[in-house]
Amino acid sequence: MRVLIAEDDMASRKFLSKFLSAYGDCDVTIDGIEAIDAFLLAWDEGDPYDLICLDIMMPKVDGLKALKRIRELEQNKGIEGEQKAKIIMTTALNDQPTVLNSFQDGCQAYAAKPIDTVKLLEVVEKLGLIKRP
Amino acid sequence: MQDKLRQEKELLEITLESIGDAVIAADQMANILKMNHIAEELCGWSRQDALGRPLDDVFQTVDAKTGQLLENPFRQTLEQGLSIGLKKDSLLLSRDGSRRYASANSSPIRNKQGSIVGIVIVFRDITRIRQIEESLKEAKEAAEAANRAKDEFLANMSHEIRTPLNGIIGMTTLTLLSELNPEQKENLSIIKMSGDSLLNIINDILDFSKIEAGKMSIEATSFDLRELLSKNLGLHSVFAEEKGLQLEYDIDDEIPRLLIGDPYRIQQVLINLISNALKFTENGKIRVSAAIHEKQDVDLWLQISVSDTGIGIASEQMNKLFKSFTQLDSSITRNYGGTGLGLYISKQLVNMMGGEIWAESIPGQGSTFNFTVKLGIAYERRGTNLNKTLNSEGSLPKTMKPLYILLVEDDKTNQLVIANLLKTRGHMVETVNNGREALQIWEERNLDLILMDIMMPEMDGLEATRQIRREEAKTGKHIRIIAVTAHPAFCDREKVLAAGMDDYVAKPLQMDKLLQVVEKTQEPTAEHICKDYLPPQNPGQDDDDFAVKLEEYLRPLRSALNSLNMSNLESYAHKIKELAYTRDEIAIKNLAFKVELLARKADIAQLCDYVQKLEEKCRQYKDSL
Repeated sequence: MRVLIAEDDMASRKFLSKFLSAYGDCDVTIDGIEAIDAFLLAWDEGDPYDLICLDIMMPKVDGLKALKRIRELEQNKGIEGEQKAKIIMTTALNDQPTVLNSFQDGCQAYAAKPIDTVKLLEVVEKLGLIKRP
Repeated sequence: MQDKLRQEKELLEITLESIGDAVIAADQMANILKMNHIAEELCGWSRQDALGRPLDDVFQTVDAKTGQLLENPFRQTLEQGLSIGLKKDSLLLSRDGSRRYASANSSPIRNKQGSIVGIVIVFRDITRIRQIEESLKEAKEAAEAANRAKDEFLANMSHEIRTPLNGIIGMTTLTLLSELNPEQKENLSIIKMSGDSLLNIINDILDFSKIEAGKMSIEATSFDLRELLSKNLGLHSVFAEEKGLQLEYDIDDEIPRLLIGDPYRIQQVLINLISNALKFTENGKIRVSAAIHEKQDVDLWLQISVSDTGIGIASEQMNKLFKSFTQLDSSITRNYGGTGLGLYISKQLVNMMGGEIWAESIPGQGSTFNFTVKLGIAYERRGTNLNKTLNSEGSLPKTMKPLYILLVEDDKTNQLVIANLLKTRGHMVETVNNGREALQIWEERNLDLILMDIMMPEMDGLEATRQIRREEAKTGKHIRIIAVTAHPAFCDREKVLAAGMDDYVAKPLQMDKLLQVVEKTQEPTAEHICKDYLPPQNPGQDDDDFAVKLEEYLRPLRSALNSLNMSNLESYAHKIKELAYTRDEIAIKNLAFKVELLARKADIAQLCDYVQKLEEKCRQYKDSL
């Protein structure tokens, strides 16, 4: 599994990448622009990300805008169905409307911070990205 | 004529009745001549009954507290012609026994010759006013009590938050000094950084509430400005070096070596300004300068300026700078962190020190923050306390002068943290749990130093210190006692020093600060430290040639890879990426970005591959020119 993490807070970034590294190859980006760049780079390399974790509050381009842009880019490239990246929004915001909006914009799940690792794994498993005994 | 007289009399009667206050008039013998209906109501006497009676029978007052009948208050009016009022807390006693608060005023009635022929008393019921006053007073007391409770809560919270934070930061610092694999080291460094930044936030909030409550105090002690500046620049130079920034300072030679003021608060303002400058500057340098602003006899206004070559501040944003809870752009909090209280606190501190703080800035070119403080010129001598505690690798070198130290501390975690720290440094440490035990050890052993917690069971640190100083008075000896306190909001420096302690350090303990205070007697020279700490010169930045710049970044990129320094590798890859992006060199940009991503996950095998690819691509570009 290839994972892309976009998160501006260093501690959260390290934590998430270290935790998910046990299940796949994790790249980390620190804002929405880098995330979109990395997403494009991975497609250029012919090895796209299976899972993308986007923080909602980030400088430059926030997670919601990055989500929209990534889905647009996929559409332009003619990527459909199971080929599309699974996207999990992560957030310290306790803000239901924002989260609901992101579902409309095409994310699969969301994880509130501090992140519950058990729940996160369950979600990743449900998305079909990992198999656990 | 008769008619006119009658009319006048009627008018007087009606006027008397119409007055909103109670009125009683009496003759020279104090027998009642007249009273209006309000006086009837308040005294509970009808006119028929009252007229001709002694004033004392009708107008009676009692003491509100004792309930005792008071003497006729108006005798002096009749005897001496004085105009007087009622004593505060006098109650008017009516005929039916009811009591009410009253205010009254008596005046003598004089005939044409000027001799006193009677008395007139005007009085009113003020019970309602008194009730309102009472309830206001109660409300005020309640508010004050609530405020006191809040202050106490704040002080306690400060303690409660700092104590566990001390454990976290302390144990992390300790573990960082032990043998670790790189992964563990990184994890612990993050804990340490998070702990430090939490501590900064808590300190800001506490300072803010102290200022708001008017409880911030400014000290006056002698200090060496050069020492203060070089020490602070030393603390920041590591960070500046990491960012590739130059950090320099210059001090006007005219400034006397020793000044009188509050070095801690000046340092606080200075640290705030320097960290801001570091935060908002990506390239170039930060310069701190100190000069005399004005001088009068023994007073000196010092001006310190911190200028940077950072992002700058737009002029319309300038007026928001020194307000509380404002950062110029809320995205700054996300980008750069911070509480938005720093400059507000700095401004308050500077004002309290009799100075001003102001900023000048050109957006895109940099900012200069200036502040002045009023200081005294000192003439006594004092030793320097500079100490280089950390070597460049971040490990703790052994001290050249081991001390025999007694640690008095009731919290087991803190005992462990502090004792291990001091032992790692090469000192000998004894540990006890309270002041009583400390006294015993102090008597038995020949100690160099005592580190004393303030709040302890059985005997607290202040009391233990007082007893030691009393004993010492007989022998003429003096052991250094340093207070260790988690109560900076409570415990003022003066209080600690008044108990006979020599110095204090605040919890959570910062290792270098603790060692600095403990090892104060060792004196390396200031020059030595400045030289060691100042970062190396930056590569020239004026040269705008893309290829030359690429080369400049590629060399340290390669050496970062060779030395496996991932953070340098990441930062140089980032610089190349940004540079390539501005020139639209997408292939180079993508490769640089790839290196950046790989550096973040420390994928060495792939890094070797991609750094080589990047170097090749750059060479191709250069050849194509």
